[in-house]
Amino acid sequence: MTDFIDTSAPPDHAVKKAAFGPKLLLSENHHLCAGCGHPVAVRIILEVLEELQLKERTIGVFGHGCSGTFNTTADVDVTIALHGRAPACATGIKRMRPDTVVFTMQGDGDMVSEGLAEIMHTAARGERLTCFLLNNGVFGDTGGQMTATSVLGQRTKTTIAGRDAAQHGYPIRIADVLATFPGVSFVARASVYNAAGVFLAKKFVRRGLEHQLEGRGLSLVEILTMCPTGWFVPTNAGPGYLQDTLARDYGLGILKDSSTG
Amino acid sequence: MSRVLLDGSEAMAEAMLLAGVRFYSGYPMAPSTDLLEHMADKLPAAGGVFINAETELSAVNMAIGAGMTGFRAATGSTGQGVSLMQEAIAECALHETPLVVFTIGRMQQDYTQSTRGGGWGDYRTICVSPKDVPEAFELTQLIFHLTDKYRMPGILLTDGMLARTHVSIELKPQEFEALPAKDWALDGTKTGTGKSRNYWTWNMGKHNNPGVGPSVHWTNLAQKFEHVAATESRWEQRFTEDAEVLVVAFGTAAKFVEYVVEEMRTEGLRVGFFRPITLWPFPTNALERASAAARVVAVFEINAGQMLDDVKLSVCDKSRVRAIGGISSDRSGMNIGPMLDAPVIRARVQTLLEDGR
Amino acid sequence: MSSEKNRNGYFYPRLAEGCTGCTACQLVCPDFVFEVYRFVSPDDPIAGETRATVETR
Repeated sequence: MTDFIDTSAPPDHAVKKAAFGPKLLLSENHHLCAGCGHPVAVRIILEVLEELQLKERTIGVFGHGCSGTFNTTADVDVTIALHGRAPACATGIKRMRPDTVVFTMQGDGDMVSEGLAEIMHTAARGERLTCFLLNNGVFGDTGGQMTATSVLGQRTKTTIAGRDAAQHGYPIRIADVLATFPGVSFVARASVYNAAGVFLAKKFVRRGLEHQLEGRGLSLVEILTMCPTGWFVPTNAGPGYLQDTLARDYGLGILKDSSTG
Repeated sequence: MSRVLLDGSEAMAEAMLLAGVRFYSGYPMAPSTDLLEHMADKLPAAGGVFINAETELSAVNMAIGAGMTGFRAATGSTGQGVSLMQEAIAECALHETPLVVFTIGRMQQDYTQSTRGGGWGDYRTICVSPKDVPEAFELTQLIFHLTDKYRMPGILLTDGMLARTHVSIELKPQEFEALPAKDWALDGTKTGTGKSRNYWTWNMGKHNNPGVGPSVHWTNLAQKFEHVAATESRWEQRFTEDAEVLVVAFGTAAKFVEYVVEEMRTEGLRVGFFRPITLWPFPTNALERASAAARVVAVFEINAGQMLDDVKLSVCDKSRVRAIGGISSDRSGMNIGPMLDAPVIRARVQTLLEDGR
Repeated sequence: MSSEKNRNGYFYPRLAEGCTGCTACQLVCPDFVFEVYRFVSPDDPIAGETRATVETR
């Protein structure tokens, strides 16, 4: 029989090492599913914005979907662009206010399905933006349909027997594609299925924003997140499923960093 | 002030610079391409930003992003290209971002699109249509003023004939009432202060400062659009008091109609002329008054009957309304065809006069 | 995890002995339920060793 420690209050003289939620979040009550990985990614982004002291000079352009629901709780000047168009909207914003830090935060359905043209051309132009792709391989907000990043074999509402290349084509590895563009200076892919992954994701988010501050080209940080609802798995099986499917198929790490030559 | 010989496209570009436009993005499509190229040439030199966008869709979204940050921004295309922009135009009406769209049509078949729009929601778009190059130069400046004043999108509707006609004009800046500063602009300065902005069509605000929400917001917008409708319509009319046949036309076609009506008047024929300058808000009450005594209200437009709908909505006893225009293009489908010709118009109006005898 | 649900209807994490305050729990939790503290335990015979606790809601 394990003895549990009373956690109703920290002991005297304790030093806080980690807070419940990031300072730039007005409420920790998100309304996303249990086990959703998006809040972890959002927390990372907001923590880094705080650490880099980007308050009062940052504009976020969110996409449509579950990640867009943070428009009311992120303490960030934000707009929600039309589905997929965040990079275009962000282009207009950054060109008019080049001294602000402008980032997009989009799901895979938003960026890679609907908005493929926008992200590619924005990257080709080398706009000095940081684009965050929260990739869970489904259109979560509409119930879990296939997107351009769903992996082969993945069961979704529109590929219920599993994504089959002959019928549904192949996933698009947008990070790999954009890494080949000269106007893109930083591309990295991380995941939030375990603590090490979260730690690395935070490093990549920081580097991506620093690229914008250093005036380099477009930075893309892809964060693979859990969607147990969209994946038809129990809540606590989400991280394992992510590790065995999307993370395995896509691979994690830095794909391009022009600052390291 | 000296006069300069410019075509319509260049005149509109110069007017944009005078209006302080700082951002233009577009996609080439005849006959709006000349305007795009003029802006590519002139706007960066004037300190603005020009982007040759990958699609009409991204062009309008970029312009909206620019407008959101508080700067005057515009995009343009021909009607077939503005088709792709419908969602974004509606969206910017609903989140109250000023935007000007230049619709340079091939004929006059873009009226319904420009006044009704194909986007979603209870939204309106101001639409002005010049009859000639000097008026295009003035209305360009006006539409930037109106869209800023009311924080909504506006369309300047014209056609390839005007865009390519050279006229010598004075590059005179128009004067408008002063407008308040754009303190609503999304500029990033509120991030992290607890007072950050949620700039979106559903007006949800932030957790600690909720907005009114979609239902109230959209209702407020509808009331704003009604106010604009009641106060901002513009039109031109001549010889309407005793006109037996009143001819209604817009844009370039109206200039031809005006010429025909004036010529017929010198011969003592009782014809009149009514030209809406704002296609939205359509000058409904003014047309009702102007047409009260006419036996026939003739609508001349180079399409199968688009402004016809608004004329019928405006006049009492719409059985008096006759469409005397039609679709007319050349073999390429890109230019106004032979129907836009003074003798042709005159013959059609003459027939209506004679029918009454 | 607890065997009973809290007032929000969720099972919640319980803290057992041996926590080192690595903050891994806080890193991975999408519901922001963890706050991590470190302190020097007065009971511990080896000076300077730290313990940690986790506050949950």
